[in-house]
Amino acid sequence: MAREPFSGHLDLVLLAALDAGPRHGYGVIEHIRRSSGGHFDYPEGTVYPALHRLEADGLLRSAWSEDGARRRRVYEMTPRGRQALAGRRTQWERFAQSVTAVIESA
Amino acid sequence: MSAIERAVAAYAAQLRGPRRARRRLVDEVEAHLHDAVDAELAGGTGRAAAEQAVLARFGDLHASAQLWNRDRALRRGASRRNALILACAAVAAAALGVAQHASGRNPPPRPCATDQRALMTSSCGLPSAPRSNGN
Repeated sequence: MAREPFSGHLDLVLLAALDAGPRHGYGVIEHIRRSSGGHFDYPEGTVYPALHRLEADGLLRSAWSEDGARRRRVYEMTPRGRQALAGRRTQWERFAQSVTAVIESA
Repeated sequence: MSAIERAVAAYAAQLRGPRRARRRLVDEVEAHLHDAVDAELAGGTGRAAAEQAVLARFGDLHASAQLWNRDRALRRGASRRNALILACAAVAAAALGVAQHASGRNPPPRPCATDQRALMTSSCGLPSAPRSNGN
């Protein structure tokens, strides 16, 4: 899938990927790839700055996790993040319904 | 030095901001790249090809570093602006207080008593009555 339509909704997709529970960055990316059926082909390097930004905004929190020899930063949603996700999900659903209505009326 | 190690070093060199925050991002990215290479190797890809594939999926290192740098700079700027606004407000409030006190319209509050009974009846913290000049 093209990168552009995805890039505008990165925050929503990241929050949704963390809705089910804590994940590290690589896990978030793998989850998005699998759950989108491989449609989201975007540069993985954009995910880490976005995760840091969402954490600085108070929507996520993170902590190091030791898993074998490798340390990974595990992210989870804060209560504020859950509120933000609910709001963005509603906005997205309204937007998608509106676009679908226009397309189907053509 | 492997392609991953070179990429991580190049990434680290492009980051701006506090050392601890930069270190954290670099550690995360490094773990990500190693996890991704391990997954490629487990799928039967050779190491060199695995590293190239992983770096291609990661995308432009410079663009990723710039995204992070830009957000840090925006936050730093906002934080400085807020500190400046607070400082200006504090100076303005102090200047207003001094001006009112000097004009006798709003004398400074009475000091508060420290014992509980006195606190119940005291009007401490409230402005004292305007001073009479005795004429």
